[in-house]
Amino acid sequence: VTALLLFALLGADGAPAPVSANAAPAPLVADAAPASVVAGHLGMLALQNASTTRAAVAEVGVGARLPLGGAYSVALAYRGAMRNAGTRVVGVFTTVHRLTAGPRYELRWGRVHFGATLAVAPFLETTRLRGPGLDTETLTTFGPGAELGVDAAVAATAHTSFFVAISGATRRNYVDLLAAIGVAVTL
Amino acid sequence: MRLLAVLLVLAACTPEDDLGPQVVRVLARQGKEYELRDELLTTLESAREVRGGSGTVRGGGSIVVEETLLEGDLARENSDDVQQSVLVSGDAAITADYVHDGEVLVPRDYETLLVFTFYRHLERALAFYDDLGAPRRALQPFTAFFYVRFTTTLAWGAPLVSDNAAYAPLDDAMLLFPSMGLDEGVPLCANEGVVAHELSHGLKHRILHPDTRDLVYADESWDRVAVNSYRSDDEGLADFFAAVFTGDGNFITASVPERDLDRDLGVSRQFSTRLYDNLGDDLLSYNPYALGSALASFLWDTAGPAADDRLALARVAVAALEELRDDLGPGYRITQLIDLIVRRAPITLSERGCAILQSRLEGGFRDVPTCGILQ
Repeated sequence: VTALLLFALLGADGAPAPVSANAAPAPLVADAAPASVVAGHLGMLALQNASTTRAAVAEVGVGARLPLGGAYSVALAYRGAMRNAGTRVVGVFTTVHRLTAGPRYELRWGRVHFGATLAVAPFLETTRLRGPGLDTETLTTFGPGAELGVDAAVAATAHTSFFVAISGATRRNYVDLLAAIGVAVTL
Repeated sequence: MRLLAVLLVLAACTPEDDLGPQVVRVLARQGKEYELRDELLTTLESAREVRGGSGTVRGGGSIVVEETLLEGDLARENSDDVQQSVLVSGDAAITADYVHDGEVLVPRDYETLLVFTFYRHLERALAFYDDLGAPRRALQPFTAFFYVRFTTTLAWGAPLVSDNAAYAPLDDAMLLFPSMGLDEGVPLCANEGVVAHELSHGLKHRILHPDTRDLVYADESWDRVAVNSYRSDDEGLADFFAAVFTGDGNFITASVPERDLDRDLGVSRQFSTRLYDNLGDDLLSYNPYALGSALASFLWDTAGPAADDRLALARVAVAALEELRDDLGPGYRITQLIDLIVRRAPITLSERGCAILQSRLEGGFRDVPTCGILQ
């Protein structure tokens, strides 16, 4: 997820190479300076749970990437997901919010960009039991976290690219996984 | 980077466990409805792993058909192999997700609420069967595989069974399949009656097969009628015990209010000629619940509305299982069990039961010596 975000933020990297049908593939290079980028994504977040399985929920994220020099940039993102598990009678409503920030490394190969991001990803999680009987208050948990993700992007226009990203982010003793698609715009 | 390393280490730490009996928030029955309630789990040893004197809940396991066929019962060569066979693979200890609210452990995700609730029901159901006189060897802790995925490689690993629960003799374990389609009621694994029902299968197997996980009818050349009779009385007894445990003859409705499963014990049911003829069906197509419901309905009506009488008849049924062990054989019929129960029951219940049988037994079922009901 973080990777997605990061990728979203960082992933759909900046200025794409000029599009030319006749152009020979550019070599994979690491020294191209990423541009400033804003990105958003829609993803499928696999939230790990007590049963050691993961429940799939939708996630959205927005972020930005700012060049640091060389192939490096710094990625910042917000991601949010919501899970309403259970039946009409009983269930648990969960939201997970993450803010991620970390360095990103990027390689370019013509119109295709590859990126990897390692980030701190503190999370804010709220859960609420719903069901007849006891009135259970919403539980709020804030904690540290980390995220590692990779992404690949293809430039669609001079300022726009589409990307796919996968990542894993820690949440307490859990690791949530994210697969996402998104769009990034070079500023 | 140093900060990141610290955060990673912190994130990898296993949460602190709470050992010994705990008060946890669970879903429990109140009348015919269910509600969230704080209850003491007296046999709990590890709250994080949901493990204790009543059983252990495991998560993340799978049953892959091909693996079962190759490594499971088809490949076994002797009883020792059966003892070691593992139906479920890839399972792991639960890590319950909860927070402390004073003395209460409050689940923080849905799965934790369900496994806490399941353990609570398991604990009370075992105490119930203990009170009924089930032998100690049958009351040993059970393993339950929560959200076990039954699948085949042909289905790319997708779960093929959901919204169900089962007892698997080969693993001497309970299988709790994922909840996916039942949205209107209490999840099956959180239904007290369903837990007592599945536990009945396990106890019956342990009583009748004390030395093996294999089924006696798999080793002997039982005819279809015998095997299907065994399977039907398994379901019927389980429904009756669950109804006595919950005090509700239609306990399953709390989980499937939108469906009519026709399992209400309050409905009078004939041991009809059609049910008898169906006993000859092949094992895969035979529906054991129809005859099982006739047995459960008979026992429910024989016991009557008084809780003490229901408990008395349930005790008789448990005792009859122990006696049945010596009578099991290739020619087994459900009426053998009925006869044992009627013969052991207190005189008032026995007479009431025989009167009911006189009106409900048809055709090939009319073979209960105690009542003098013979063809």
